Amino acid sequence: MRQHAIELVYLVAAIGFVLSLKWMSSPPTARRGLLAGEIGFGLAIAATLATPGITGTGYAYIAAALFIGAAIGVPLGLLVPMTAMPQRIALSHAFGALAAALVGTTEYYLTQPAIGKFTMGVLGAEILLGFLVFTGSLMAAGKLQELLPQRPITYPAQNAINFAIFGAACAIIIALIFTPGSAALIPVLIVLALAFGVLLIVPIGGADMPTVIALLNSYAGLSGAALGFVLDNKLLIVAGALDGTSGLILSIIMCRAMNRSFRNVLFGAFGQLQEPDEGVEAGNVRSASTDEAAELLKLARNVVIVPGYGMAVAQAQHKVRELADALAREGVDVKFAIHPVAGRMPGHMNVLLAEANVPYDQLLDMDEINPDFPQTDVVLVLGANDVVNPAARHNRGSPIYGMPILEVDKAQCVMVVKRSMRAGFAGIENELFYDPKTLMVFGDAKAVVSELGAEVSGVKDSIGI
Amino acid sequence: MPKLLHTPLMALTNALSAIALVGSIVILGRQESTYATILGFIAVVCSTINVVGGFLITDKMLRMFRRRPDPGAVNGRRDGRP
Repeated sequence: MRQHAIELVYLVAAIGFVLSLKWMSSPPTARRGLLAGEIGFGLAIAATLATPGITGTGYAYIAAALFIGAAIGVPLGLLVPMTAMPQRIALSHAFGALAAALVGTTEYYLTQPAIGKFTMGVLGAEILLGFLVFTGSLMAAGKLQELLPQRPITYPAQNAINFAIFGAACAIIIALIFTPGSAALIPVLIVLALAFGVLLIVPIGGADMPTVIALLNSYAGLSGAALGFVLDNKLLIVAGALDGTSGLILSIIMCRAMNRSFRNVLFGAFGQLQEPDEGVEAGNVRSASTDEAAELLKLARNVVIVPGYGMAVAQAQHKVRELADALAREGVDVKFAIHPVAGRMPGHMNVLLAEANVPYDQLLDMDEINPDFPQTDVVLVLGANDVVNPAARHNRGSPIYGMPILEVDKAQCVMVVKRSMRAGFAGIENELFYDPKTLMVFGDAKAVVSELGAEVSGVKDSIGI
Repeated sequence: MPKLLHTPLMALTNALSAIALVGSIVILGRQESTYATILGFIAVVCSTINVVGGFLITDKMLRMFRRRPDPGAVNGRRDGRP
């Protein structure tokens, strides 16, 4: 009887989760979606605590663990700044995957050797995925936090080594399916999975991070769903499947936005964009001072700002908003153009600009804004590079050929704020910089933008720049 | 799926997938072996971090998203087009 009641509550919670994601897909209903998720979660926890077999000391341990988790989770949720969001998200994938992997491992030791073939296969896959995502996400977080080098690290026979490890892990799972009692194989599987997670992320460069983060999100969900099959818990299956598919959809969107095949990403052949390119002839570069740039901006009827990772690194989002406000006061129409893979995670630029109080209806997606560029007076490119490189459109030899870009070169005038003439992350020369209608404004994004803002609002002298 | 909500969506699915907490609670609560208790404890802590942190951060992000104060004004998004 009690078991039926618990199942019923789990069903209601699962419905809450589905509604939560459905409502989350549109800004006006997003908050309702969050609430549905929270209610579903609360119900699920309450029902779980009523599960038969939990001992008195068990409840004490549960309370202690919940308390410790909350004590770490609350500051992680409230205090982490938006600029650190990509590594925060990566870290939470690591925690989630570790939890799922540990539950799977424990379940194995508690039930072996009486494990059916199907369950053992799923359990093996779950342990592999869980530990793989754990170290993979830790590596990603380390790279994003710049504790580890951001550039891709490659070595000979990289893919061969990765495939060998993956093959060995699969062989162990198959062996376990036929002899579920060979408990000694589990630690080997775990070590292989941990190593595979590290090696998978080693060759990933910063520009590929949005895809990888979405992919790790998807893998974490899949391991949760697999755990649901093992524990015969439908709520876990539903939640894991929702997480897995939404992560998968996000990674497909990211792949499309970079014109990479999904196979290319799935098999860890990342970082292949980083081939040197010799196609572009270095021509003359026109550079402008901030005074000149500010004059041009003030004279424009409409300005489109294109933010990229450079804006995030310089933490220039607040200064950018001040510049946009100053221009709006001068009667200039200001919009922001957001490339899907700008930054280091899906939606990175949107979150940063939202933090700086830029209204979201001022942010336009690539497809929305591209037709507007020919009628745009000035485009201000802030720390973006490859996503505005016209070579993607016509240079068949370019590593980014075919990648959809923001077509800023069709605007009347383009201003590029950049530290120096160094090539972008992908190491590709950008012919946009040599275009006669492009003006380069050299300097740190934050410093340049705050000077521009001051110039536009005419308070330059009063703050003593 | 609007790109605006990509990051909140990831944070939310992250919180939801921490429902592995349900499995960890049962393992920790049943105390079937010391081993299970230790692993279960770590799992409950990790999942709770994700649930609490994930929901809070989604909320924080959604709070930041706002429309323009006067949507009907001259500078409205598609206004001023020929």
